[in-house]
Amino acid sequence: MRVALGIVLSLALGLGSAFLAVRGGLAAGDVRVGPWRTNLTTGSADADLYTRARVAVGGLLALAPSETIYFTAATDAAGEPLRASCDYVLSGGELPARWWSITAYGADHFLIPNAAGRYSIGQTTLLREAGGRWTARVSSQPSDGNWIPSGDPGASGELSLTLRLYNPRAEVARDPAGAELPSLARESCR
Amino acid sequence: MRWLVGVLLGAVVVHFVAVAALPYAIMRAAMGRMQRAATNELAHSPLATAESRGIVRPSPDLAYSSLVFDVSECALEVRVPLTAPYTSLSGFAANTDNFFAVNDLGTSAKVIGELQVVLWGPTLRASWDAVGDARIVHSPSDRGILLVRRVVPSQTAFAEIDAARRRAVALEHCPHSDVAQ
Repeated sequence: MRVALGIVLSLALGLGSAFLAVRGGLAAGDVRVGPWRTNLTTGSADADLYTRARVAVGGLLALAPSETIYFTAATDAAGEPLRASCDYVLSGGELPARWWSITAYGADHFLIPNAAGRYSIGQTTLLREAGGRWTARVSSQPSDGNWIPSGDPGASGELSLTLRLYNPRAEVARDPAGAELPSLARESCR
Repeated sequence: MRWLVGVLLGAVVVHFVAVAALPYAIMRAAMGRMQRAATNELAHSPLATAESRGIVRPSPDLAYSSLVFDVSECALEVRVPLTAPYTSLSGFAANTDNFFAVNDLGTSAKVIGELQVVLWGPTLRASWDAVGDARIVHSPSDRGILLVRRVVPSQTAFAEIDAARRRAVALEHCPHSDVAQ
């Protein structure tokens, strides 16, 4: 009886702690730029056990940083979790890559259903101001200009954004913490 | 006390086995979901939408083509036409590692106008001349996934890109028995 109880406890503790570690916060090698987070071992053979497991869960088939660097934001600039019940403003300029995009995902890591069928903004379709600066709204409410729908505010509501930098400039791979990335500010909540 | 130590040691072992095994399990499941074509044949996906449930965090701005490979018995040559503004071909091993990526800015892509690699399995025994002069990429695992990514700059550009990506080819190079060993 004690042996059986011991096995059950070992399984529960081992699997539970593994789940928390894979779902948890910062991993070794994570780099933060404001609300954006990346890990330069993503997709590479240098990835540690936990990074590889996290990528498998939330970013399977991610490219190594020499080809693409992925920055993800799950919070706004103030550190509050991104929610569909709030409106956010992204703003930035040209980003240090050959091609880039920003895409919104739900808590299940898939694209967020919306009537407009819009999921992202991208370098080639973005509306820019004079001088190359741009702003985009992340909101459940339709918006003129650059708009990323954040889904049904009544649903579970948590979301995250992924910024993809394809063929990033060498200085970003060298010093991702110094990259100039878009700001992400909360405007209002319902 | 010995019982408690045993439980904790068991938990540590379970923890590390679970974290280490997770990528392999997820990759195996992904290969099953992605296998709309036969092994070693390319399949072309529509643009990702909220209904897409094959792979987590798809990009809606990319046209994906995928291939579930098995290079345990034959090498696999893949040739991929280029489309603007970005085309890449990448390989993912059974543990999810991205073991190679080539794109349209590469020297050979500029020379021959397409991406071309020959995927070579870790246990494959054959002579090198079976695959000619093509660039050989060594896969760390017999099975895995090749993925072609193409940036789709606008919805109207998709039809042309879709037609181009269907000209991609995947050819098996199986060794003759006299060159194996």
